[in-house]
Amino acid sequence: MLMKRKIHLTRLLLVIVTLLSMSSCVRDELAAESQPQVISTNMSAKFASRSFWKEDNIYINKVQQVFLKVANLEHVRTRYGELNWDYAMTFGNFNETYALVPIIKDNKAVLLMEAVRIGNKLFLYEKNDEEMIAFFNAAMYGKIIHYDETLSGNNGTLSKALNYVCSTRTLSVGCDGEPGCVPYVKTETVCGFQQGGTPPKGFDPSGDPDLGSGGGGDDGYEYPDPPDEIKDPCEKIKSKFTTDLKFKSKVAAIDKQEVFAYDHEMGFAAGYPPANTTVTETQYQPMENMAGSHNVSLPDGDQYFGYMHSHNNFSDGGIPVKIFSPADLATFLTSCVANADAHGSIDDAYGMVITSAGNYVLQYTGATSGFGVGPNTIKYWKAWYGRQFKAIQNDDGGYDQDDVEKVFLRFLKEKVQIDGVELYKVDKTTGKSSKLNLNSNNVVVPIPCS
Amino acid sequence: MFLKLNKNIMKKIFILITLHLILFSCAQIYPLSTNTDVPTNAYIQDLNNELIPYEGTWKGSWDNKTFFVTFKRIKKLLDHRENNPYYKDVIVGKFKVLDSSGNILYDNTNLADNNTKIEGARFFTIPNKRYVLLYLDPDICNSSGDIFISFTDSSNNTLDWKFMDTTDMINPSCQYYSSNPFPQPLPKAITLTK
Repeated sequence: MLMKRKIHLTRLLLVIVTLLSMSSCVRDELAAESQPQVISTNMSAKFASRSFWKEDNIYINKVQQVFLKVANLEHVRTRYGELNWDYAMTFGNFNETYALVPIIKDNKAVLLMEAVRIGNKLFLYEKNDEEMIAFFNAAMYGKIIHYDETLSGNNGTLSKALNYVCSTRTLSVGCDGEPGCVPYVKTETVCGFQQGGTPPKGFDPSGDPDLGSGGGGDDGYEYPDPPDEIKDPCEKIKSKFTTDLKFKSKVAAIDKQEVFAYDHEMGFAAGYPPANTTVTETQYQPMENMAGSHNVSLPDGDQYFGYMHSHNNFSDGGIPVKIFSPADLATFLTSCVANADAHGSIDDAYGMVITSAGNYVLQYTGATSGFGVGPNTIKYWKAWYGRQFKAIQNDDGGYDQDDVEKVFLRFLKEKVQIDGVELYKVDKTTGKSSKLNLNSNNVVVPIPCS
Repeated sequence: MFLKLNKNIMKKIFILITLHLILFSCAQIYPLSTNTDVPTNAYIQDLNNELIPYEGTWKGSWDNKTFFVTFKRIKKLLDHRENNPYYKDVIVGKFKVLDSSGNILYDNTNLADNNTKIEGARFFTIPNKRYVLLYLDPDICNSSGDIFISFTDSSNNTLDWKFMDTTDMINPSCQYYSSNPFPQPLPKAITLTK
């Protein structure tokens, strides 16, 4: 009996000791983490991130290199203070586009330098935001007991800054037992750099009036090895209409009343140039009519990343739907996107339908091309599509194009359900495009491309 | 007295519950001309028996082939929309095509009524009354089309048939990609007799 009690006591002690040691480990870690950091006073020292969050270290490193190349350090020290690269933050941006670097004077941040990359140019701006500066001071000097970050993407207007990320970072600052200390929480949200509006005040690292201030309206600094730009669909469509003369001429060849009056469809497929040749231009092949039918076929071969084709005004006593059919969408996904992914860039893929009621383009912004769209899927797509489009026809069999756009967007949303498939409408006269979206009430909302 | 009152109340409650049950168990009925969304389990019914005259086996010749199509009205469960199944009276069609020697080219007359390749959709009324059916053929790369049928005589014994191909784009994954001509089991325009 006594022996048994002893064993129990020993076990209990063991548990207590283990728990205590674990708790002290946690405390040590937090203490080590939250102790005021030794602030670097040498802005040319090699950068080593001390941020609580994951930062775009490649970008911070490159910005530091550019800065050291152009800066007069004495001028910077005198005019601004010491840049602390170790606490530079990129707020969820990992595409080498955005960073904030705190500038220290008398052991506290007094200003921030905003580093913005656009293309192969780096722009440096002053960011004199009191709350933001206080946030950096808390991060560098406060006793941090908790930190957090919430990321969200933009979903507003379509612009070149399509892929910016908003990061909301929170710091809980505790006390070390000093009298009168009140714990507090600091939260800051940064959404990368938004172009437009009044340019911010330039940050001048050189002090040389001939070189300008370095940011603002100036030309910026050369940025080494910028990452490849992923163009947004608006840019992709725009560049086809403005720079690809062959593309334009093919569209013009289809976009005619006489073509819409044919008893068959007409189209062209866009292919990558053949490998191991000096040809660099996109190759356009006619899409042949299937013998005896009014349908077109995508040419055989894995080089085709895009197509354009007509939908007629009338066909054998009926009125065709003047937007993509399920087969058009399936061809876009299973051939164009797959071929673009395999032989070019996935965002090269496009599908286009040219009709008397409007021209439409399909684009894909997703990252992968395995969709699993087989015959069964297409069967169910067609059943949904057939029934729903029949329901919106007028008593004479015609359609209101607004309804056609709405039902097609519902088809994408309710039946297809593949993220990244986007529908654009291209103005026949101006060539400008708008992304067509459905709002929560299933109303079509066009978002004009910039 | 109290017991009698109680019995009366109970009786009324029972009647109310029964009425409720009857009302709720009956699906809401809509006329065949309904093309808007309907509540779940609603029934779009051929209240005026407009579809009945189309029923039966119809025959016609085209391109040295003989075409038979059998139309039948069924109450079909349409569950193509998530969480919104409903019933609708539709004409479904099964067909058979024979060549000039009587060999069978296409035959789907053995398909179940709720799994036919031809399924009715609605009436159009301008400029003439015609019923439109959807054709979807999983055996020929999901070939598809709209079929329009209308009576050409007052006795409803001859039927005008028109077919609009909506298959659209064919890609190399279709087994008939290189077929010349591409299989076309349905006539484009034909007059059918019962």
